[in-house]
Amino acid sequence: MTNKTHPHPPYIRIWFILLAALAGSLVLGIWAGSKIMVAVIFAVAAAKAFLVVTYFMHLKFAPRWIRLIAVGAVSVVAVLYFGLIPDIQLGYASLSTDQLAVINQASAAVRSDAGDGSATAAASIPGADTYQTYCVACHQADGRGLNGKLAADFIADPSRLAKSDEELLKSIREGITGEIGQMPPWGSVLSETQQLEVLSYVRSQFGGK
Amino acid sequence: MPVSHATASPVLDYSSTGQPSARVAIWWFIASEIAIFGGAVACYLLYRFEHPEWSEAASHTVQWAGATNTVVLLTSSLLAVLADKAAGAGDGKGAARYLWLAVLGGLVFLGIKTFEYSHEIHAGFTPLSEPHGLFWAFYFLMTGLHAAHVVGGMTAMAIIARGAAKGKHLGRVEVAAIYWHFVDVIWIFLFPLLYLAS
Repeated sequence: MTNKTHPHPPYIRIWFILLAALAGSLVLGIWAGSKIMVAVIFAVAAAKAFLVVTYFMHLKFAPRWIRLIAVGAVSVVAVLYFGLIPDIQLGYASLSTDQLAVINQASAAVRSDAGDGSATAAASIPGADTYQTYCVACHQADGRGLNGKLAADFIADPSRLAKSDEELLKSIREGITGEIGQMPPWGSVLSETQQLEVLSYVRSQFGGK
Repeated sequence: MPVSHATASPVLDYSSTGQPSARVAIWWFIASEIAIFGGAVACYLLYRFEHPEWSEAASHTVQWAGATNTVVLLTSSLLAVLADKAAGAGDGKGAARYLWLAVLGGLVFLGIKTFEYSHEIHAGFTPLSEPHGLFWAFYFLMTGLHAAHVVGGMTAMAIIARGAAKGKHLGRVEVAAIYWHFVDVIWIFLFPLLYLAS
């Protein structure tokens, strides 16, 4: 006999619940295009895993320090994931040290100019806020970029904004590597509405369209 | 040196924690496995959010096969826990029978997985394929690593089943079963990650 002082849970009933949860996920999978459904599907998966770990693996009956071994390992994975978000999802790892230095400098300059009237005058136009928050560090308030060192100059080079909306939205969403540098992808930061608004802002302020 | 314990197993050493050493060991082993699979899943998620277009690639996975394999592993897990229960009651022959059935579940799982792999490779979906090679690289890495763990679990259960049938080392049944459930839990996450979220 092993160290079994705990009662045996109703294993077969738990198995039926697990199968029902799987069937539910498959039905929800039909609508997996929606973000909410994807979240529900993963919540169901987590619930299934919880049932297996708690009852089949007997973690419910194990001492707390054994549960901590498992929780600790999961925490390490969480630290890995959240720690890598800036590098991979926000694309910072693909920027060079020089580019980051320029961005930091420019952001500091923008912050010290925050009281400047020109920025607030434009703030009522949709997309202006987004531009001021995410784009201005490199592209600058005047849309001219950083002296050809980083970011497109919308004014000097009209071909920049002569591209189609689709092409420019793709660059905003997925980032783009150009001759002078690399724009990180903003698709995971900006909503679709924000992307459309900021494009229309850029066109209205710096483009001829 | 084993400490005395009211329900101490005659076949398992007890650590000074009052828990069988093998049970403690398997949980530490699982912790290291969580780091391995968790690392792969975390990287996959980071890239998946970056590439909404991977949903197109994910739609080429064989969803019915993945779903069937989920049922197979859940059932195999049930059989393993029933083996554990039988071993706890001193029924070595019953434990061995359930363990062999759980091993059979693993075989069915691998059979279906082999069908899927050959289907995908014939259709040209490999890590080298364009444009979603990275998706397929993650797919083959994560499911391949998982399949290797299925083979490991089956081997352990087969060895332990042979002993259990003779009434030997019944305490080991629980340890193999815990590992087998862990393999099941990994699949519970891999299935929606790779097949459903299209």
